[in-house]
Amino acid sequence: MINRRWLDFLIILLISMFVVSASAAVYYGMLLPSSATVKVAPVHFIAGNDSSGILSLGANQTYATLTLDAYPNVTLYYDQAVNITALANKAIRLRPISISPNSDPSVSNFTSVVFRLIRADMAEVGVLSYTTTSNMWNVPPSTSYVPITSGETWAIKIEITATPGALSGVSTNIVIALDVT
Amino acid sequence: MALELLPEFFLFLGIDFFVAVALLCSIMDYFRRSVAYLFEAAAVFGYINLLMSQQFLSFFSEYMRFAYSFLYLALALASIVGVNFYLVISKKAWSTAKLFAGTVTLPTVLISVFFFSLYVRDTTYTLTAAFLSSAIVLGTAIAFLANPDKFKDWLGRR
Repeated sequence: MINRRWLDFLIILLISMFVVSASAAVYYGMLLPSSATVKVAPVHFIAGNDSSGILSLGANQTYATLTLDAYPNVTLYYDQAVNITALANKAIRLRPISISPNSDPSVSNFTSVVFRLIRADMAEVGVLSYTTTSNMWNVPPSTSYVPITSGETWAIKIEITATPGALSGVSTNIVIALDVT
Repeated sequence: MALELLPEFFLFLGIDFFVAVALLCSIMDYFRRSVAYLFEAAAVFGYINLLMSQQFLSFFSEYMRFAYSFLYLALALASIVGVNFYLVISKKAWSTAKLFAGTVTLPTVLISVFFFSLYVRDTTYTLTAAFLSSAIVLGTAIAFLANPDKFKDWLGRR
Protein backbone atom coordinates (compact mmCIF):
# COMPACT_ATOMS: atom_id res chain seq x y z
CA MET A 1 0.00 0.00 0.00
CA ILE A 2 2.83 2.38 0.92
CA ASN A 3 4.61 1.65 -2.34
CA ARG A 4 1.46 2.31 -4.31
CA ARG A 5 0.94 5.62 -2.52
CA TRP A 6 4.50 6.72 -3.27
CA LEU A 7 4.10 5.61 -6.88
CA ASP A 8 0.97 7.80 -7.10
CA PHE A 9 2.92 10.64 -5.54
CA LEU A 10 5.74 10.20 -8.05
CA ILE A 11 3.35 10.14 -11.02
CA ILE A 12 1.50 13.22 -9.77
CA LEU A 13 4.81 14.97 -9.06
CA LEU A 14 6.03 14.37 -12.61
CA ILE A 15 2.77 15.59 -14.15
CA SER A 16 2.80 18.57 -11.78
CA MET A 17 6.33 19.55 -12.79
CA PHE A 18 5.34 19.47 -16.44
CA VAL A 19 2.09 21.41 -15.91
CA VAL A 20 3.65 24.08 -13.72
CA SER A 21 6.70 24.68 -15.91
CA ALA A 22 4.66 24.63 -19.12
CA SER A 23 2.06 27.03 -17.74
CA ALA A 24 4.83 29.33 -16.45
CA ALA A 25 6.36 29.34 -19.93
CA VAL A 26 2.99 30.13 -21.53
CA TYR A 27 2.32 32.95 -19.06
CA TYR A 28 5.82 34.36 -19.56
CA GLY A 29 5.24 34.25 -23.31
CA MET A 30 2.06 36.26 -22.89
CA LEU A 31 3.83 38.72 -20.62
CA LEU A 32 6.68 39.56 -22.97
CA PRO A 33 6.20 43.22 -23.73
CA SER A 34 6.35 44.36 -27.32
CA SER A 35 8.82 47.16 -27.83
CA ALA A 36 9.10 49.87 -30.40
CA THR A 37 12.39 51.60 -31.11
CA VAL A 38 12.56 54.88 -32.98
CA LYS A 39 14.99 54.71 -35.88
CA VAL A 40 15.87 56.76 -38.91
CA ALA A 41 13.41 56.04 -41.72
CA PRO A 42 15.15 53.60 -44.10
CA VAL A 43 13.59 55.35 -47.09
CA HIS A 44 13.15 59.12 -47.09
CA PHE A 45 12.77 62.09 -49.37
CA ILE A 46 15.59 64.41 -50.45
CA ALA A 47 15.69 67.36 -52.80
CA GLY A 48 16.25 66.70 -56.52
CA ASN A 49 17.65 68.89 -59.27
CA ASP A 50 14.24 70.48 -59.94
CA SER A 51 13.16 70.85 -56.33
CA SER A 52 14.29 74.42 -55.91
CA GLY A 53 11.36 76.63 -54.93
CA ILE A 54 8.75 73.87 -55.20
CA LEU A 55 9.71 71.39 -52.50
CA SER A 56 9.14 71.61 -48.80
CA LEU A 57 10.47 68.64 -46.86
CA GLY A 58 8.74 67.66 -43.63
CA ALA A 59 10.35 66.74 -40.34
CA ASN A 60 12.80 63.82 -40.69
CA GLN A 61 12.20 63.97 -44.46
CA THR A 62 9.43 61.43 -44.15
CA TYR A 63 6.99 63.56 -46.05
CA ALA A 64 7.29 66.14 -48.78
CA THR A 65 5.02 68.90 -50.06
CA LEU A 66 5.32 70.03 -53.66
CA THR A 67 3.83 73.23 -55.05
CA LEU A 68 3.80 72.82 -58.82
CA ASP A 69 2.75 75.03 -61.69
CA ALA A 70 0.68 74.22 -64.75
CA TYR A 71 0.21 76.24 -67.95
CA PRO A 72 -2.66 76.08 -70.45
CA ASN A 73 -2.02 73.80 -73.41
CA VAL A 74 1.46 72.96 -72.17
CA THR A 75 2.95 69.91 -70.48
CA LEU A 76 5.31 70.94 -67.73
CA TYR A 77 7.98 68.43 -66.74
CA TYR A 78 9.73 68.23 -63.37
CA ASP A 79 12.35 65.54 -63.99
CA GLN A 80 13.44 65.41 -60.36
CA ALA A 81 10.63 67.09 -58.47
CA VAL A 82 11.66 65.16 -55.40
CA ASN A 83 14.11 62.31 -54.92
CA ILE A 84 13.91 59.21 -52.76
CA THR A 85 16.92 57.70 -51.06
CA ALA A 86 17.24 54.35 -49.29
CA LEU A 87 19.43 53.49 -46.31
CA ALA A 88 18.53 49.79 -46.47
CA ASN A 89 17.34 47.28 -49.03
CA LYS A 90 13.60 47.83 -49.26
CA ALA A 91 10.70 47.70 -51.72
CA ILE A 92 8.66 50.80 -52.49
CA ARG A 93 5.56 51.81 -54.38
CA LEU A 94 3.41 54.87 -54.98
CA ARG A 95 -0.16 54.74 -53.72
CA PRO A 96 -2.88 57.32 -54.39
CA ILE A 97 -4.52 58.65 -51.22
CA SER A 98 -6.76 61.52 -52.29
CA ILE A 99 -7.32 64.18 -54.91
CA SER A 100 -9.40 67.28 -54.39
CA PRO A 101 -11.49 68.94 -55.57
CA ASN A 102 -13.12 66.16 -57.52
CA SER A 103 -16.51 66.17 -59.29
CA ASP A 104 -16.02 69.89 -59.66
CA PRO A 105 -16.07 72.14 -62.76
CA SER A 106 -12.50 73.25 -61.99
CA VAL A 107 -11.24 69.73 -62.74
CA SER A 108 -11.90 70.23 -66.44
CA ASN A 109 -9.03 72.75 -66.56
CA PHE A 110 -6.56 69.89 -66.22
CA THR A 111 -5.76 67.13 -68.68
CA SER A 112 -3.43 64.99 -66.60
CA VAL A 113 -0.97 64.84 -63.73
CA VAL A 114 1.51 61.98 -64.05
CA PHE A 115 3.94 60.79 -61.36
CA ARG A 116 6.75 58.57 -62.64
CA LEU A 117 9.03 56.60 -60.37
CA ILE A 118 12.48 56.70 -61.98
CA ARG A 119 15.13 54.24 -60.85
CA ALA A 120 18.83 55.17 -60.40
CA ASP A 121 19.59 53.78 -63.90
CA MET A 122 16.85 56.12 -65.28
CA ALA A 123 14.45 53.26 -66.00
CA GLU A 124 10.80 53.96 -65.24
CA VAL A 125 9.50 51.46 -62.67
CA GLY A 126 6.08 52.84 -61.80
CA VAL A 127 3.50 55.35 -63.00
CA LEU A 128 0.57 57.04 -61.33
CA SER A 129 -1.39 58.77 -64.05
CA TYR A 130 -4.26 61.00 -62.99
CA THR A 131 -6.40 61.93 -65.97
CA THR A 132 -9.65 63.84 -66.24
CA THR A 133 -12.99 62.99 -67.75
CA SER A 134 -15.09 66.16 -67.83
CA ASN A 135 -15.38 67.20 -64.15
CA MET A 136 -13.95 64.00 -62.71
CA TRP A 137 -10.45 62.85 -61.92
CA ASN A 138 -9.68 59.24 -62.87
CA VAL A 139 -7.66 57.91 -59.95
CA PRO A 140 -5.03 55.34 -60.99
CA PRO A 141 -4.25 52.12 -59.08
CA SER A 142 -1.17 51.82 -56.88
CA THR A 143 2.09 50.91 -58.57
CA SER A 144 3.73 47.55 -57.92
CA TYR A 145 6.39 47.22 -55.25
CA VAL A 146 9.88 47.64 -56.69
CA PRO A 147 13.07 46.73 -54.78
CA ILE A 148 15.37 49.64 -53.96
CA THR A 149 18.95 48.95 -52.90
CA SER A 150 20.61 50.61 -49.93
CA GLY A 151 22.43 53.79 -50.98
CA GLU A 152 20.43 54.30 -54.18
CA THR A 153 18.66 57.55 -55.01
CA TRP A 154 15.60 57.46 -57.21
CA ALA A 155 13.60 60.33 -58.65
CA ILE A 156 9.92 61.16 -58.89
CA LYS A 157 9.24 62.78 -62.22
CA ILE A 158 6.04 64.78 -62.54
CA GLU A 159 4.26 65.85 -65.73
CA ILE A 160 1.35 68.29 -65.55
CA THR A 161 -0.82 69.12 -68.52
CA ALA A 162 -3.55 71.76 -68.47
CA THR A 163 -6.22 72.16 -71.14
CA PRO A 164 -6.12 74.91 -73.78
CA GLY A 165 -7.79 77.94 -72.24
CA ALA A 166 -7.42 76.66 -68.67
CA LEU A 167 -8.35 79.28 -66.13
CA SER A 168 -5.63 80.93 -64.10
CA GLY A 169 -5.62 80.31 -60.37
CA VAL A 170 -7.31 76.90 -60.52
CA SER A 171 -5.59 74.34 -58.39
CA THR A 172 -5.79 70.73 -57.34
CA ASN A 173 -4.41 68.92 -54.29
CA ILE A 174 -3.05 65.42 -54.68
CA VAL A 175 -1.92 63.25 -51.76
CA ILE A 176 0.23 60.21 -52.52
CA ALA A 177 1.79 57.73 -50.16
CA LEU A 178 5.20 56.18 -50.63
CA ASP A 179 4.78 52.68 -49.21
CA VAL A 180 7.91 50.95 -47.95
CA THR A 181 8.20 47.26 -47.05
CA MET B 1 10.34 48.19 -15.07
CA ALA B 2 7.25 46.92 -13.23
CA LEU B 3 5.07 44.66 -15.33
CA GLU B 4 1.31 44.69 -14.93
CA LEU B 5 -0.39 41.44 -14.02
CA LEU B 6 -2.31 39.79 -16.82
CA PRO B 7 -5.72 38.28 -15.98
CA GLU B 8 -4.20 34.87 -16.79
CA PHE B 9 -2.06 35.19 -13.67
CA PHE B 10 -5.09 33.95 -11.71
CA LEU B 11 -5.22 30.89 -13.96
CA PHE B 12 -1.54 30.31 -13.31
CA LEU B 13 -2.10 30.69 -9.56
CA GLY B 14 -5.07 28.30 -9.69
CA ILE B 15 -2.96 25.69 -11.54
CA ASP B 16 -0.31 25.92 -8.82
CA PHE B 17 -2.91 25.52 -6.08
CA PHE B 18 -4.49 22.49 -7.76
CA VAL B 19 -1.06 20.92 -8.21
CA ALA B 20 -0.21 21.54 -4.54
CA VAL B 21 -3.47 20.08 -3.28
CA ALA B 22 -3.07 17.07 -5.60
CA LEU B 23 0.39 16.35 -4.19
CA LEU B 24 -0.86 16.73 -0.63
CA CYS B 25 -3.86 14.47 -1.20
CA SER B 26 -1.63 11.81 -2.74
CA ILE B 27 0.44 11.51 0.46
CA MET B 28 -2.42 11.79 2.96
CA ASP B 29 -4.24 8.64 4.03
CA TYR B 30 -7.60 10.38 4.34
CA PHE B 31 -8.40 10.43 0.63
CA ARG B 32 -9.01 7.77 -1.96
CA ARG B 33 -6.41 7.55 -4.73
CA SER B 34 -8.53 9.08 -7.47
CA VAL B 35 -8.99 12.36 -5.55
CA ALA B 36 -5.34 13.33 -6.13
CA TYR B 37 -5.64 12.48 -9.82
CA LEU B 38 -8.85 14.49 -10.01
CA PHE B 39 -7.06 17.58 -8.70
CA GLU B 40 -4.19 16.91 -11.10
CA ALA B 41 -6.68 16.70 -13.96
CA ALA B 42 -8.07 20.06 -12.83
CA ALA B 43 -4.53 21.48 -13.04
CA VAL B 44 -4.11 20.09 -16.56
CA PHE B 45 -7.48 21.60 -17.47
CA GLY B 46 -6.19 24.96 -16.21
CA TYR B 47 -3.12 24.59 -18.39
CA ILE B 48 -5.32 23.92 -21.43
CA ASN B 49 -7.39 26.95 -20.46
CA LEU B 50 -4.20 29.03 -20.33
CA LEU B 51 -3.14 27.79 -23.76
CA MET B 52 -6.55 28.65 -25.21
CA SER B 53 -6.42 32.05 -23.62
CA GLN B 54 -3.06 32.66 -25.27
CA GLN B 55 -4.29 31.52 -28.68
CA PHE B 56 -7.44 33.63 -28.56
CA LEU B 57 -5.84 36.63 -26.88
CA SER B 58 -7.02 39.07 -29.53
CA PHE B 59 -10.61 37.78 -29.53
CA PHE B 60 -11.31 37.81 -25.78
CA SER B 61 -11.79 41.06 -23.92
CA GLU B 62 -9.77 41.65 -20.77
CA TYR B 63 -12.89 41.49 -18.60
CA MET B 64 -13.84 38.11 -20.04
CA ARG B 65 -10.29 36.80 -19.52
CA PHE B 66 -10.41 38.02 -15.94
CA ALA B 67 -13.80 36.37 -15.35
CA TYR B 68 -12.79 32.87 -16.45
CA SER B 69 -9.34 33.11 -14.88
CA PHE B 70 -10.75 34.21 -11.53
CA LEU B 71 -13.44 31.53 -11.69
CA TYR B 72 -10.70 28.92 -12.05
CA LEU B 73 -8.76 30.37 -9.12
CA ALA B 74 -11.91 30.46 -7.01
CA LEU B 75 -12.49 26.77 -7.82
CA ALA B 76 -8.94 25.96 -6.73
CA LEU B 77 -9.42 27.85 -3.47
CA ALA B 78 -12.79 26.19 -2.91
CA SER B 79 -11.09 22.81 -3.34
CA ILE B 80 -8.46 23.66 -0.75
CA VAL B 81 -11.05 24.97 1.71
CA GLY B 82 -13.19 21.91 0.99
CA VAL B 83 -10.30 19.56 1.76
CA ASN B 84 -9.75 21.45 5.02
CA PHE B 85 -13.43 21.18 5.99
CA TYR B 86 -13.45 17.53 5.07
CA LEU B 87 -10.52 16.85 7.41
CA VAL B 88 -12.35 18.63 10.25
CA ILE B 89 -15.93 17.50 9.74
CA SER B 90 -15.71 14.07 8.22
CA LYS B 91 -12.39 12.72 9.47
CA LYS B 92 -12.28 14.60 12.78
CA ALA B 93 -8.55 14.96 12.16
CA TRP B 94 -8.22 18.16 14.18
CA SER B 95 -4.44 18.40 14.33
CA THR B 96 -4.01 17.63 10.62
CA ALA B 97 -6.78 20.08 9.76
CA LYS B 98 -5.17 22.82 11.87
CA LEU B 99 -1.82 22.16 10.25
CA PHE B 100 -3.47 22.18 6.82
CA ALA B 101 -5.27 25.42 7.56
CA GLY B 102 -2.13 27.14 8.78
CA THR B 103 0.21 25.96 6.05
CA VAL B 104 -2.05 25.63 3.02
CA THR B 105 -5.53 27.16 3.29
CA LEU B 106 -4.66 30.47 4.91
CA PRO B 107 -1.53 31.17 2.82
CA THR B 108 -3.29 30.35 -0.46
CA VAL B 109 -6.26 32.57 0.40
CA LEU B 110 -3.96 35.41 1.47
CA ILE B 111 -1.79 35.08 -1.65
CA SER B 112 -4.93 35.18 -3.82
CA VAL B 113 -6.29 38.24 -2.02
CA PHE B 114 -2.92 39.95 -2.30
CA PHE B 115 -2.63 39.41 -6.06
CA PHE B 116 -6.29 40.29 -6.58
CA SER B 117 -5.71 43.60 -4.75
CA LEU B 118 -2.71 44.25 -7.02
CA TYR B 119 -4.71 43.49 -10.13
CA VAL B 120 -8.12 45.01 -9.44
CA ARG B 121 -8.82 48.04 -11.62
CA ASP B 122 -12.37 49.08 -10.86
CA THR B 123 -15.48 48.06 -8.96
CA THR B 124 -16.72 45.84 -11.80
CA TYR B 125 -13.82 43.45 -11.24
CA THR B 126 -14.46 43.33 -7.48
CA LEU B 127 -18.17 42.69 -8.00
CA THR B 128 -17.42 39.96 -10.55
CA ALA B 129 -14.97 38.30 -8.15
CA ALA B 130 -17.53 38.50 -5.32
CA PHE B 131 -20.25 37.08 -7.54
CA LEU B 132 -18.11 34.16 -8.75
CA SER B 133 -16.92 33.36 -5.22
CA SER B 134 -20.49 33.45 -3.89
CA ALA B 135 -21.68 31.21 -6.72
CA ILE B 136 -18.99 28.64 -5.91
CA VAL B 137 -19.74 28.72 -2.17
CA LEU B 138 -23.44 28.31 -2.90
CA GLY B 139 -22.82 25.47 -5.36
CA THR B 140 -20.56 23.63 -2.91
CA ALA B 141 -23.06 24.06 -0.08
CA ILE B 142 -25.89 22.68 -2.21
CA ALA B 143 -23.73 19.67 -3.17
CA PHE B 144 -23.04 18.92 0.49
CA LEU B 145 -26.61 19.50 1.62
CA ALA B 146 -28.13 17.38 -1.15
CA ASN B 147 -26.27 14.19 -0.30
CA PRO B 148 -23.58 14.75 2.31
CA ASP B 149 -22.95 11.16 3.42
CA LYS B 150 -22.54 9.74 -0.05
CA PHE B 151 -20.20 12.60 -1.00
CA LYS B 152 -18.10 12.22 2.14
CA ASP B 153 -17.96 8.45 1.69
CA TRP B 154 -16.75 8.85 -1.86
CA LEU B 155 -14.02 11.28 -0.79
CA GLY B 156 -12.72 9.06 2.00
CA ARG B 157 -12.74 5.64 0.32
CA ARG B 158 -9.33 4.37 -0.81
